[in-house]
Amino acid sequence: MSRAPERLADLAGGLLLLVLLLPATGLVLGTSLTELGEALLLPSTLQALALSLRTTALALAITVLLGTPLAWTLSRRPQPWHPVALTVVELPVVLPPAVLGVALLETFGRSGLLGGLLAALGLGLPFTSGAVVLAQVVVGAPLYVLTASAAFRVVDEDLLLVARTLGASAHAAWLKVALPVALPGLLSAMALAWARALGEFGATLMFAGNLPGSTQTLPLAIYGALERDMAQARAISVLLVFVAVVLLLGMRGLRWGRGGLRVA
Amino acid sequence: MSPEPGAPGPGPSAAAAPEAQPPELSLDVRLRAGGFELEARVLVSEGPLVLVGPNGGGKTSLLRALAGGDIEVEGRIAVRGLPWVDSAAGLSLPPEARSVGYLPQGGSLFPHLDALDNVAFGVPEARAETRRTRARLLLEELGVGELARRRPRRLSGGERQRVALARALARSPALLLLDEPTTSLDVSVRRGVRSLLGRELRVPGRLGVVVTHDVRDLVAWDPVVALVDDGQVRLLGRLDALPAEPEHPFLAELLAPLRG
Repeated sequence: MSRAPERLADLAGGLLLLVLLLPATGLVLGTSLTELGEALLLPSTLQALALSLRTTALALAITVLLGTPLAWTLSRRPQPWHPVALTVVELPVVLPPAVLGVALLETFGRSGLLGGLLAALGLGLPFTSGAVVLAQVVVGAPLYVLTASAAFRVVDEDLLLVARTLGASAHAAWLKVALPVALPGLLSAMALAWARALGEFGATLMFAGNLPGSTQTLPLAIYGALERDMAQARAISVLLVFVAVVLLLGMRGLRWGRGGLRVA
Repeated sequence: MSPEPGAPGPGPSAAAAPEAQPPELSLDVRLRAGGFELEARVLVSEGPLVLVGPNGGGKTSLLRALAGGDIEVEGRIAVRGLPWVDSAAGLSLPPEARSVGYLPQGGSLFPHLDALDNVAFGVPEARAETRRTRARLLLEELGVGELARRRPRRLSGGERQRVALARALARSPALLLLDEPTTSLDVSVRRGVRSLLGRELRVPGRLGVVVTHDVRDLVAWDPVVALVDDGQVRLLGRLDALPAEPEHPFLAELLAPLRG
């Protein structure tokens, strides 16, 4: 028996890992520390950073507030409407961001489905920070709901029923058992949704534009700097790689740490 | 442990007629869960009650219905004359208003709490310190006091079962529901858990309802046996009252080790 097929499989896997790792390596190695410091302290960088932090924080808050009850319901006994809701939730994950941008414009744009109504109320959404947040919610919330729902599935009915027989109301059982048991998974879900919102580019560009101070988030600032100041584009990119690595390590820590809960 | 005020004790009808004790458990229900239906008409005046029967017959659903789980129940459930469910009158006490200790299959310990806090979760006391003190006593009574600070995933099967039992006893429940408490235990600890349960199931003022597949449990506890099969619950009586050659194939198989 030859071990050649296994060798070949290892080689293929190694090759893929290399392809995945090379771009980030090239980026980081191509950037010097002084250049990084200077570019990150540029007023336009700081402005985009502040906007990104503000909008993603708001998008995450909306996502958690509206997404947690849905994730919980979807994790309970299957209902006839669950597959429909799941398809709706999964749609933005599969759709190209450019399509989402067009869809948002067609819905909330001045001549869109709800545009007239919103404009009449003085809530013109396109090309405002509100549009940035909406685009971030649309791309981030699905990841949150799907991951949080998987985390909640660890909480079985018997666990809750035991808590109830021990004197907890339905509400208390959820807060004291369901929530803490699922917490590591919920934090992972938040990290994923936030990272996706932070990186949102296509839909934001089309629906919110690229206006420094009000809609120019970090990814859009990279795009804006590409032809003007490559060093700035590189520096912001390195910053975002750093954030991504820290998030991934944090999630790994959650998975292996307390409770040892693993979340898909 | 002092009994929880108001939970067990004689019901109002017992006060009216002191010599006629109400049955410990009176069941006249039809359950619907998933795809199946189960009818149960059972009066138990002295326990413990053991449910036997093939898998998928509805034994666990019956326990969960008694605990107040998310199962459609039509009919009446009364414990010591106190109505818990009366669907005609629109009554169904929530689990926290019943007096139930529930030990699901596998224990269902809260994974985020250590053994002590699992038990303390149920102790009906306002102060956390008092709850912990009482929980520690319970763990010691069940012989697992030294495991107080361990998380469930660091406990063996037998240890988990003891901690889960301590938790189920934390409120001195009128009804103690145990789902296959001796299954999936190591041979070396099964006998210990079995005799421990034998004692706990005989505590006055408490009715135990136990699901088991092990005839040795029946021998050790001398319970009233009920067969759950084919959508019906049939009360059969104590072990020595069972026929030597039961016609029901499941019963014949279950009791075979005794006749061998």
